[in-house]
Amino acid sequence: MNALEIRNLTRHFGDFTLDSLNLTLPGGCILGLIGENGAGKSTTIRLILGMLRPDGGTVTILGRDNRDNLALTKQDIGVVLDEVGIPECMTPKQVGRVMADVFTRWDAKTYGGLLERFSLPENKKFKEFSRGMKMKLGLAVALSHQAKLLILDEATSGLDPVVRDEVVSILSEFTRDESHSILISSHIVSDLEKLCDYVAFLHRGKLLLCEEKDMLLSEYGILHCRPEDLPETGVLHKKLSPYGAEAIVRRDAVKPGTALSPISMEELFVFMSKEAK
Amino acid sequence: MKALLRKDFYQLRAYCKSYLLICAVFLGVSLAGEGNLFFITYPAMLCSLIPVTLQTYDERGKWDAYVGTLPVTRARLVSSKYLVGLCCSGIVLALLALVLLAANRYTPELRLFLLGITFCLSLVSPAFCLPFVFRFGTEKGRMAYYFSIGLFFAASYILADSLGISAADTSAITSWNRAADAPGLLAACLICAAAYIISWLLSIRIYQKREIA
Repeated sequence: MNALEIRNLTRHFGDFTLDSLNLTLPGGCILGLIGENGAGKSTTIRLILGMLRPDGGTVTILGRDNRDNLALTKQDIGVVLDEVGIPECMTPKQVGRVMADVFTRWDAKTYGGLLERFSLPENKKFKEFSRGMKMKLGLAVALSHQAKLLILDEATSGLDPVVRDEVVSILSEFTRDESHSILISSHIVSDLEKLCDYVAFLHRGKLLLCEEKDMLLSEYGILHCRPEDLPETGVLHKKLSPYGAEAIVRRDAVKPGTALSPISMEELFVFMSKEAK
Repeated sequence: MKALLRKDFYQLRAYCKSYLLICAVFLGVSLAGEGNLFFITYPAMLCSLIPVTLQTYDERGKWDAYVGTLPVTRARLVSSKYLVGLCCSGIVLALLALVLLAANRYTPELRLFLLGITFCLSLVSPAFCLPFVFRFGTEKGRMAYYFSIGLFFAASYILADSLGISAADTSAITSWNRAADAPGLLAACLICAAAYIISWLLSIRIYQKREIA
């Protein structure tokens, strides 16, 4: 079963349109939603969670339409937003008590274990936490009610590299269970490159691509050559300078034996975004 | 619902502790003094602020967005604020009842009048204000609150004037014992209670349509 299916999801704002978005997150996988600020990542997540109403299209979460009893479906979803949203005066201990009444499958033992693992003091107020600690508390809540789907909106941005790495390893652990899936949005492409099975590039409300990460990286390469040597087809993007041409090309479009540099997700995203302008 | 009330309780404990102290001081002063209407009714006005204050903290800390990701219906979210309002009203009424019992200068009719007006005061303002808060957010909702307070005092002044009561003239308060006015007081309490219920239902309707960005 797919964890998430988005079909023709459309939402118009004044000067922005999320345009007929189609995405599928297979069960047991991690899908990275990559896009620059304002690309529509948070809008997509808020539409999935019913916080915004779509102008068209459907969202199916764990086999259930998100217009049908979404509160029940949310029992199976753990969410961490960019700003975690836990009241500043509350301590992790109090948060645990509140969440025990929110989630029917709240596991106090797991929560306590995660607080310990993340070195989060039980009785310290949320407002006294660093950004990394706040994010970890958000994650601890999201991971303590046997969620099947995690949705993370810019959860790693603003964290130092050590905490980011820790978060990435926690998320990898979560998907060891084949029934667990993650949708994670970020503009920090390197984090998603480490983590994701699938990537979706979103640019100005439009989906540029949604493919399996490994296939994508093996499909394209960077070609450095003279402008006249560029292949006629299969060029995704090219940059011409007095010193030559640099192009992202499909590997199957160049002559066998041509030297291609491997491409990173970030380069691919930047090139594709520029191409789409 | 229990979760939301618990969360609001933690916030009340952290941010509104001083409210309880102010209520106690004002009621104590009214007990020691000669029953100034302002001192007696101020705690009710203060507690009517609490649901909006809690919503302000929710918006400032982005809880309103976070709770949108949790398995909590919007109807419950709205209802929790109205229930907090009712609880605060109940606490103020209980404190006032104790003060009125302790002070033996009040007639039973006057006690009833003061309890009635406190009940009305504690409900009418959030009833007017909360739908605006749930529709436009607390910043604009607060403007509606100030407007409602102004409106209420203007109406109170006109009503008190017609009943021959002045907030500054305490002898007029203590002399208010006309049993004939009891039906009017009861009607005012029922109107305020009905306004609170209508406001509750209206806020649920409004918040269900609101988008959380």
